[in-house]
Amino acid sequence: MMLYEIFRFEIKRAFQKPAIYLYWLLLFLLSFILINAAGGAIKSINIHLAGENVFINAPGVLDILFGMYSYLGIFIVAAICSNIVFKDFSHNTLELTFSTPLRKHQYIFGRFFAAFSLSIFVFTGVAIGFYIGTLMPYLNQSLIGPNHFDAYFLPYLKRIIPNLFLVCSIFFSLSLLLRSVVINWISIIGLYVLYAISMSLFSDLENQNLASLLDPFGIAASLKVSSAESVNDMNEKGTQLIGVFFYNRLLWSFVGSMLLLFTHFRFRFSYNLRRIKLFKRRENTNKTVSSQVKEKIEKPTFSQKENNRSTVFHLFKFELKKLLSNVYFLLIGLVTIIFLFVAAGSVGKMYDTNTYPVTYQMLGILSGSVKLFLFIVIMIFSGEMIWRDRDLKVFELSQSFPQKRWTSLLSKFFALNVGVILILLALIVCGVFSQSLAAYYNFELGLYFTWIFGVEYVNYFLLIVLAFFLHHLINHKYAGYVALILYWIIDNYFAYHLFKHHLLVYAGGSSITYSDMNQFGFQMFPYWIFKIYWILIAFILLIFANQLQVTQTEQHLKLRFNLFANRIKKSALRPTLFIACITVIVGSYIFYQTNIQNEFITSYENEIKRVKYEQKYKKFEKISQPKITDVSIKVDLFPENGNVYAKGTYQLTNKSNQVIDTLLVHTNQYLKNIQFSKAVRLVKDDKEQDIQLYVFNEGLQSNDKVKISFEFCGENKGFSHSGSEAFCRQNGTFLYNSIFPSFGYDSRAEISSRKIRQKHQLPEKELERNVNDSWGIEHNFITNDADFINFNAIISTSADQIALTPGKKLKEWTENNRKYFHYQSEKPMLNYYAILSGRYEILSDRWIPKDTNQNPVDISILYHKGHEYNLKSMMKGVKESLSKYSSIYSPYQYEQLRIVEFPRYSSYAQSFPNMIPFSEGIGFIADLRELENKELNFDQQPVDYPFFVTTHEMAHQWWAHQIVAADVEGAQMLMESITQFSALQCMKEYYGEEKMKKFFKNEMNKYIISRKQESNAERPLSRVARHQSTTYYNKGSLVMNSLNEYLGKDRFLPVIQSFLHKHAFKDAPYPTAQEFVYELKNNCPDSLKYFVEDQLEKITFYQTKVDSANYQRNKDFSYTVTSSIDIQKSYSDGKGKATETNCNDYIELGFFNSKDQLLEKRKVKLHSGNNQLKFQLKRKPSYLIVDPNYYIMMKDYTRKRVSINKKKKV
Amino acid sequence: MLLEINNLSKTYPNGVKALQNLSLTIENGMFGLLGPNGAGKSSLMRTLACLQDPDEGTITFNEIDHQSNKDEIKKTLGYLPQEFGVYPKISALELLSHFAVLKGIHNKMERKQMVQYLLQQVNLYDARKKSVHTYSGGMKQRFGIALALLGDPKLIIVDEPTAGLDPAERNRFNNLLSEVSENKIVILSTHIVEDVKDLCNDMAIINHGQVILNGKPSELIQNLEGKIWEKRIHKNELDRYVKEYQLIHTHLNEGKPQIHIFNEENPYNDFQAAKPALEDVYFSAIH
Repeated sequence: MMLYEIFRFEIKRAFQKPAIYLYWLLLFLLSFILINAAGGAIKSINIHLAGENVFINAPGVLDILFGMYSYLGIFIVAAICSNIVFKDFSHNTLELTFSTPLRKHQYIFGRFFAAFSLSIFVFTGVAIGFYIGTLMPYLNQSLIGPNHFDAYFLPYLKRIIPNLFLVCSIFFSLSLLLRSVVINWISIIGLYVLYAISMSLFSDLENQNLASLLDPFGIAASLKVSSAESVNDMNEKGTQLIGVFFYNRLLWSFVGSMLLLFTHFRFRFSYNLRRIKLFKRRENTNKTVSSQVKEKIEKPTFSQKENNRSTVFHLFKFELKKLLSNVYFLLIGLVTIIFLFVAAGSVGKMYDTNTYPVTYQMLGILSGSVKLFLFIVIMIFSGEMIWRDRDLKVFELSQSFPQKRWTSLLSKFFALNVGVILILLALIVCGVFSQSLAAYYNFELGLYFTWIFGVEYVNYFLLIVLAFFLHHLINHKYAGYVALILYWIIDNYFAYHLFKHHLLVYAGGSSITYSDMNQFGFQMFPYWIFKIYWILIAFILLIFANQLQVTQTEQHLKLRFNLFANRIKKSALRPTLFIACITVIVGSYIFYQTNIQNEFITSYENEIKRVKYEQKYKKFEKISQPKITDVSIKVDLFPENGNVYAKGTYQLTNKSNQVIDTLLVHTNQYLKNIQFSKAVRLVKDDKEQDIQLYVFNEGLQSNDKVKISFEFCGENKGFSHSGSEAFCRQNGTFLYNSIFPSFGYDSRAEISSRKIRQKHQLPEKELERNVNDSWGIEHNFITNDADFINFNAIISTSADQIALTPGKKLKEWTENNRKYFHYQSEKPMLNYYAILSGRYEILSDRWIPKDTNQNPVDISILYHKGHEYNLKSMMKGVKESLSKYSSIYSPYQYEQLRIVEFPRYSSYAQSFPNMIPFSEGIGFIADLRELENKELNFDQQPVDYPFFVTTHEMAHQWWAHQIVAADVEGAQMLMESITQFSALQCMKEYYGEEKMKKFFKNEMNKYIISRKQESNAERPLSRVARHQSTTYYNKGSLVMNSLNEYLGKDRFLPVIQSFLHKHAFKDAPYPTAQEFVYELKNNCPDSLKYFVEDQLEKITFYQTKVDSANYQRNKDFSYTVTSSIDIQKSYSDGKGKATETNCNDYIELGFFNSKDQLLEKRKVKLHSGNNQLKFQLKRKPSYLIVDPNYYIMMKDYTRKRVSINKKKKV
Repeated sequence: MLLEINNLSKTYPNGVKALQNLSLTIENGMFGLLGPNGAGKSSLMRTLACLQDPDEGTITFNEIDHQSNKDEIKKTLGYLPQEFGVYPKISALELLSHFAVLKGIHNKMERKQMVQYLLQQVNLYDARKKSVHTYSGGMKQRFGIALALLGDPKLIIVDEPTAGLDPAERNRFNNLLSEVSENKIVILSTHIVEDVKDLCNDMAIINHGQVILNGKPSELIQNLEGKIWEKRIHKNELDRYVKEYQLIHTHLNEGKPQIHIFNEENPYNDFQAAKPALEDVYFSAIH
């Protein structure tokens, strides 16, 4: 059979060449190395493939990873396809092949299946590499689970083969129809863009189904169907081919088949190459021009001279014209622009709410995914330019012209640079355009240009140099492309693992973040000094590239090397050496700054440091230390040059009943002159760990006090490896009190990862102290070295700035052209403060309590000029919080409250006593214009998260700053879950119950999908550990809300209130979550004790299914609904292993009419298994939802509508 | 004008000895370089065009050393490779102008005149606005000559230019070559003997990288006067004649082989004296 013959021929031919084996080897090695790295083969690298509890070869892991490989490896598929398709075109055998009696379908399908089979063969390297990797004896065996054949085989059926079929058919069809290699690159970009769009859609819960179908690689879809998996599930099985994942595979395989069929019908056996023609060029058919110059022209006189500048200019124009008229260049440019618009549609998404498209957000897109597009432009067109003469056989001709080598190189180099610049300029235009589409008109063109040309462009410049160098060095067009792709992969994923220092990673350097507040701060200089170093090296590479240029017809290695050596010797030696010298000087300067002046520490060295800290000082963990009772600081901030000077005094008291003789002090290189009011001697000064041990000459008796004073000299010492090291920012300084001394062993500095602890032979660590740990009860979880303190601070800053810290502002004055501020705590507060300074605008207001026993509160929001958008929401949040919390909890303890904006280097808000620093990255620029738009339904409206975050942080003024939890397990339940709950009460007040559902749905989803990432063991809420943030934030808010609902406000809130009153402003012993649960159980009816237990002390899941639901209209116009509902309840252990248990629980059912209005909700008791239920309703129901308000945990975060049908008469 | 080639040798990495101790002196006018495929013609041409370096030997052009003054040489060099391509979608005018810049003609006005002059000279003026890659083979070769003539070169090297051209085009091309060869050295490499006979005042035959014969075509023919004999034979007899005589070449005449042999004296045996042609020179040389 002819088709088989062609297939066999192609396969045989491919196996005779090395390429196919190289591809296989590449995938094999990538898999082998990855599994080795994850298995701990290399000490200095920690890679987690999934949560730490998941085996590195767990079916669930292999499934996802194989999927990723088939997505990243499509470059290889493209190469295989184009090799098979273009064989006839490039070897000029086209006419031969086309003249044989081949039938079209034989030609097409024979070759397609050959390409497809070869791709599958290449990808077998993945499974084999992984499998052999897991067998290596030197790996940490506790990370490796049993190997199952299915785990390696099934991902091929589910992911790799369907993906290969799709991409093969795309590459094969398009390159056959359009007869161009570049179209494959474009397809790759297209597929990646589609994937990126799907993933960004996927982050919005409402669009998950759409996104799952849209992703051609099925990754989104598999995430969707496996979202509720636990650690245990991942260890046992891969993603099930069900639901939307199945449809996704079906859809895209269908698309692939259709494309092949289309190709079959469209393809013509003919020699005429069909090309994409954007414009039809009008051929000049006018023959009359021909006879214009009949008389013979005399031989003209001319001058022939060397004018390199003119040559370069001419060639540059020539190259640029070629580039700009290239259809594919324009196409990639277009795709890039489309991508920009798509990405601009969801800038800064948080809580499903966009931010305003402020300029730095737009620039974030330009520095993000757009880089990949420009990389592809550079990769393709550097190759095209360098190889054009040889590809078109103009080479011999053009080389016989007296052209200087460098003129050719330079003109191409300039042209490509200008091409990239033009794309960047187009992106700026489009950025501005898309801003105006979002009705945002603050166009900061200056910032656009500074960022693009003052920051970003240099990286493209360096990339172009590298591309030119590699293409000339390797001197094989496709190998050059492969080398560049390898560079890209290594640079993006492995370079810093391998080489660690910017000086060793090509084009490396400290990163730079623009903030509206601080602009570029002190970051520009360090950024550019690294770039200058690399530009110098780039010049050398460019010189080398020039000397490596092929100008002769012979190209074998030895000749090229000799030629290169001769050329360098002849003309380039001096400039090269000269540049090399400057490079060494600049490099040495950088090295001096990063490694000598400042500390350079790799992540592995840091790991070792923490290990040593634990080994050396763990013995001091439980010895008594005096606690800080008074803090007095004087801090001088210098925003002009980044320096900070401070002096401070602590008063410490021995609150224990033991005599203390040793004091462990955490210090740092900027602290000096530590003085004690009592006689002490320094017995150990550990510079490596920044720890000093002092011994009191006479032991510190119980209740004895000691004063400690210190100086802090934070001088801006230039820059370190990570950039500017200035303590003080030009605008928007944010310093924690951790720069000052602290006391006692800090167990939080210990390594918590089980895997890393094993590596260093550290004993197993209990994640959190047990609830009965007496030391834990004696210390609060925020700072171990103090209870509540008196705080006094004088902060000075430059005249145009305002400096802030917790406490009541007592006084403000100017001295020596500097501003001074005096703050003092009104009430004892936690030893947790920050110092801020910036040029602020102030919005002030005053909250007048209804209850006259309470003080009014002065509120001020200090914000950056231009960020006025959501001040109202925030102010509303503060006031609502003050009213709400002072009524349900207790009065607010201070007379002032400040919200202070800080630059977006971090994106959070944090509550200090009467001061809430709030990042400019969240809330301040949230786009809430559609908030009141009644035309949008709840799901489409933005979430007023500036309001929500404010109320959350406000709640911390009570839950943290009035009552603070003990440093034992479950602390975050008291601190964060109740805080979330408090914020929800404010939200509910303002936005109503209905709108909260969207919020709850998101919370449920976040908790559910995070379970498989658990690195240790999931814990119930009352024993939650500090790394389990999705438990205490997301599950926490759901659980607290459900308790409030099930127990009733009248029972739940008083428990909280009395708990708060009992512990507010009290020193040790501190309250625990266990105690709270105990109180709650004591105050709830016996029938609901199970619920408190299930929600707080267990990990409980329900699974429900409505088998049927029907209604019947009664004679009195009421309705009787009958329904059959199945329910299952299970308890899960820490690894997610579920054990079914008997259910006899209250579950809420909601009945809705056809307008989505709630008719009635009822809690009904459901028993394990099937339940037959009957309800009387006054109005006609349309559908019912089990647990519509997200009170119980169900693995499916969606709450399905079950329509209620009219009962058929029997 | 004087081009001296002294003891040129070149061995490729795969062991092929392309040039072996080759020496030639070439003066003004058309110089024909004849040789079978693989004789080393193209290697010699490429070496002359500075596209590859010899292992040994020197080339001097008007007493300028070739190797160390490549840029200088390239200024006075016109080279038409055996096979060449052009950039797509560029008109003859633009392309010629592009290469004129590379030749160092930077003055726009001068360049324009030069390009027009050359296009007219190679008779492509009417087609000057057409894209070169749509040209027919002959037009393309003529365009190649225009390229080679840019900047009034003193040394023109054309490598098998008439291969694949139809007789009319070949004629036109040859006329063009002879027109431009005044006051220049034009080296024409070919395996078409007739072209050399028609055009060249001096020639060399090379094989296996060595010069076998060198001289004026007429003199070389002269040397063979009375030594070439021809006969029509039957196909089956060919082997016998090959054994017995110094056979130069065979060609079919009315379907029967007609053989030419070299013999100092009349071989009788029905052989007839033939008037020696350059073809006989060529074939007797390479056998």
